[in-house]
Formats: sequence, structure tokens, C-alpha cells
Amino acid sequence: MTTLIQERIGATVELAVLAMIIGLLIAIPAATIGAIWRNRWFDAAVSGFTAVGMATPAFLTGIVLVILFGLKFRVLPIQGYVSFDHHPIASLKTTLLPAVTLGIAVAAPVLRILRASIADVDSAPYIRTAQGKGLVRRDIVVRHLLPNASIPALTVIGVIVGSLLGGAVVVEYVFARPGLGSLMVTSVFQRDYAVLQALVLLAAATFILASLIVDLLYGVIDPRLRGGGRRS
Amino acid sequence: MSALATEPLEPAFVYERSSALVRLLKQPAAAVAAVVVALLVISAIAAPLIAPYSPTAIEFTHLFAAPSWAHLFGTDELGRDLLTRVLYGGRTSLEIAAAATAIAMIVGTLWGFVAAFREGWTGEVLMRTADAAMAMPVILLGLVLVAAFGASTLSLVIILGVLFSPATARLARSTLLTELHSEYYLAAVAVGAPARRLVLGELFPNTVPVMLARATLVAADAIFVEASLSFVGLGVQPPGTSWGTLLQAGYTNLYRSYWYPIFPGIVILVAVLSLNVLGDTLQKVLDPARS
Repeated sequence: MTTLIQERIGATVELAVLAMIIGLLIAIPAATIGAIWRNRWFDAAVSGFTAVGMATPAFLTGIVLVILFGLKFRVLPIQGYVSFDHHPIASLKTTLLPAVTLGIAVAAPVLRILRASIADVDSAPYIRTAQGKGLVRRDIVVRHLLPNASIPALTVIGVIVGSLLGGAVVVEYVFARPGLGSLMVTSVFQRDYAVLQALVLLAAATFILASLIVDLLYGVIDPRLRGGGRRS
Repeated sequence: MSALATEPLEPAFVYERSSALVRLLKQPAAAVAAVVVALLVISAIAAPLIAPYSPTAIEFTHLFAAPSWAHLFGTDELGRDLLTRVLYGGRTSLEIAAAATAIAMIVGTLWGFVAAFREGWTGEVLMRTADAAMAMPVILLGLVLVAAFGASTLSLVIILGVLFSPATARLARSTLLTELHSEYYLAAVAVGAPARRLVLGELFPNTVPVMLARATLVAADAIFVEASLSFVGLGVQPPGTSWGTLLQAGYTNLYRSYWYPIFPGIVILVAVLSLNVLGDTLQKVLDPARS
């Protein structure tokens, strides 16, 4: 069983890491640009993206990508997996479409909370002070607004990291990827309770570890949160 | 009377006396979402009346037909009309979602309220149980429960209901706790209002709206997770048909007809999106301070 998980964990970890990177590469710049530029249309487009992104099941994004890349432009493989040690470039190619699928599902909630907390922080007195001392909007956003607005987003990111394995179930099924998610589905079909148990334990451990790391990061980002006291 | 005095004074703060429903429907996005949800529900209930074909009518001359005026969504692998199947599938999907939401709301609200009333050991144990249940991704926990209890429609309803109750419990607890520490409640206690009036007259009206908004969001999640489970083959089992199973059938036949998975997929997206918009707006309208 350890071998079973060992064989499959690579495909899932690579997918999860790449999806996280893609998700944050969408969410953080979009939130930053929105805060600096403050354009009505851009804002509407971003909030449309978050609403649709939160409601789009990952399998739907996946199916659309499979239709586009499998039937129209055949530039990326839509199935299977090549391990990273074996051939890094081919491995990234097989991971790209699943990671984009999962990445969109990651970006939407992060972007949503980030925008909400930016709007929150934007009315804080120290932002007005920064404006008053003549800082340009870009510096205010990058130095004062984002660091303070990132804490609620961090909480959400922690929860998302913990639940990526859940998202991987569907995405791996769509892209026929031999990872932990598809292992989970097969073991349910075969009533293989030992494997299920191990996977559940792994998922819960990931979630708890992610929450712990997030809790530790609070102190790194915001000195006010260092030292004792529980945060909820 | 001078001309000045006839000028009515602008009140500093106008209390919105219109009902929450009216305020909700004044928001264009929410109004559209409400109409879409209503249409989906009505079309599911009235499926036998409005479906253009019988859900079992097989036409071997029209397998995997692309959308046309005769078959608006195209046809499936047996030549059945997909619009008809989506309408009937909506019955299953919405039935499961509605029943699961009811279970999640009842179990979760009781769970949270008991935890709020009994702060201390009982409350602590109840909430840590909820935390433990929430340490598992919903879909994974769903898969495990399906493995344990099977994938009949009844067990799916119960599984989904159980899945969404811990998060509901947490919201119910925090909502009730805020009310229990509010001044109007303490005032009511201080004047010696009877328990029945405290609960029905003071606490109930102030927690129900929040829980209603939550129910809308749970329904959206239930549709989402049911579709995910059915899509991997562990939800609704054939011959039962839901939006998720249609999507799966469409996906396995993708190379014959790429229209096939698109329509069930869009219907799921539209249903989840409108319920989410409705729930979010409801939350904002009912509780502008907290959102």
C-alpha cells in the first residue's frame, strides 16, 4: 500500500503545486491591478470571473479544455502523465491543462477574499496618511494595502491547500491522470478500505499541516500577531 | 410659517422598512438569479408536461445528433432527446439537493444552537467535532461515505446532508452567540421575558434570515458535490439520471459528439451560479454590517 501511494503521489503533488502557482498568478496580479487602476469595467470583469469561477465545477473547465485541446488545437496532451524525474518537460506538458483547470478553481475564492479585504483596508486611517504624505497610488497599494489585506487571503489559501486533494479527484478523473485522486475513486469502486483509510489520513494530515503553516505565517507577515493568544 | 420650515428635515439615517425580499429583488443580479432558480425548479417539476419527447424514446436514426430545432440540446448515445433528459435529470439533482439541504440545515442548526447555549464542555466538544469533520475535503469525505453506505439516492441525500452540517453548525453557533450577547436580548432577559418569548420573539427572527442565506449556499454546494460524485460514477446510479450522470455519459462519448457534455455542464454551472448569487446577495441585504 505504501508503494501504491508512493507511485501515485508524484502526479498529484505536481498537479497541486502547479495549480497553486497558476491560481496565485491569476489572483494576486488581478487584485493588485484592480486596486491600483480602479477601473469600473476591469472591476466588473474581475468580479464576474470570481462569481463564474466559484460556480464552475472543475470537471466542466476540464471538459472544455479537453474539447479545445483534444479536438481543435492538438498542442498539449489531454491524458496521462509522465513522471517529473523521467522527463521534466514532458511531465510539465501533461500537467499543464489539469493544473490550469484546478488553478482557476483556486484563483476564484482567493481573488474574492483578496478584493474584499483590499476594499476593507482601503478605508483605514494609515492609507489616508500615506495618501496625505504624497505617495503615489502604486506605492500605497504595494507597500501598505497588500500586506495588510493579505492576511484573510492567507487563511483561505491554507484551506484551499488542505482541500486540493479533493479537487484533484475530479480533475484527475477528467484527464485520466494516475494520481491519488483517481486512486481514491478506484479504491471506492473496489471497496478497498485499507487504501481509503490511508488516503483519508493523508488528506487530513495535509489539511492540518497547511493550517499550522498558515498560523505560523500570520506572525511572519504581521508583527502585531506575534506572541501568545489564539486567533480564530 | 416661513418658507424654511416647510422644507422637510433630512433624516440622518433612513431605516429600510421594506421587506428583505423586496430589497433582495431590487438588486439586478439577484433578481435575475431568483428568476433563473425559479425557472429551473418549475421546469424540473413540470418536466413531464414541457419535455418535448419521452425520456425513454429511442431513435436509432439520430444517435449523437448535434443541436437542431427538433432536438435543441442534441441527442445521446441511444438517440434520446437531451433537452428532455436534462429536464428529467434536473428532477433528480434538485430533489437530492433540496432534501440534503433540509437535513444539513436541521442538523447543523441544532448542532450549533446547542453549542451556543451550552458554552463550556458540551459546546467545546461539539465544535471541535465540527472542526475535525471539516478537516477533510468535502468530496473526499463524500467518497468515503459512499464507499461505506453505497450510492443509492437515499444514502446520497443523507451523505450530502451530513457533509454540509458541520459548517452550518459553526455559522449557527456564531450567529446565535452574537444575539445572546446583544443588548436587546439582555434587555429582554432583564425585564423578565418568559423563555418562550425570548426564543420565538427575540432570537428566532434574528437568526432565521442568516440561516436562510446559508441554506441557499448549501443547496448550491449540494448540487455541485452531487454532480462531482455522479461524474466519477459514485453518485446517482443508472438507470437514475441526474445532471452529473448526464455529464459523465457525455464525457465518455466526447469524441462522438462534443455537444453532449456541454449542455448538462452549462445547466449545472447556471444552477450553482444563480444560487450562489442569491445567497451572497441575501447575506448582504440582511446583514450589511457583517459582509
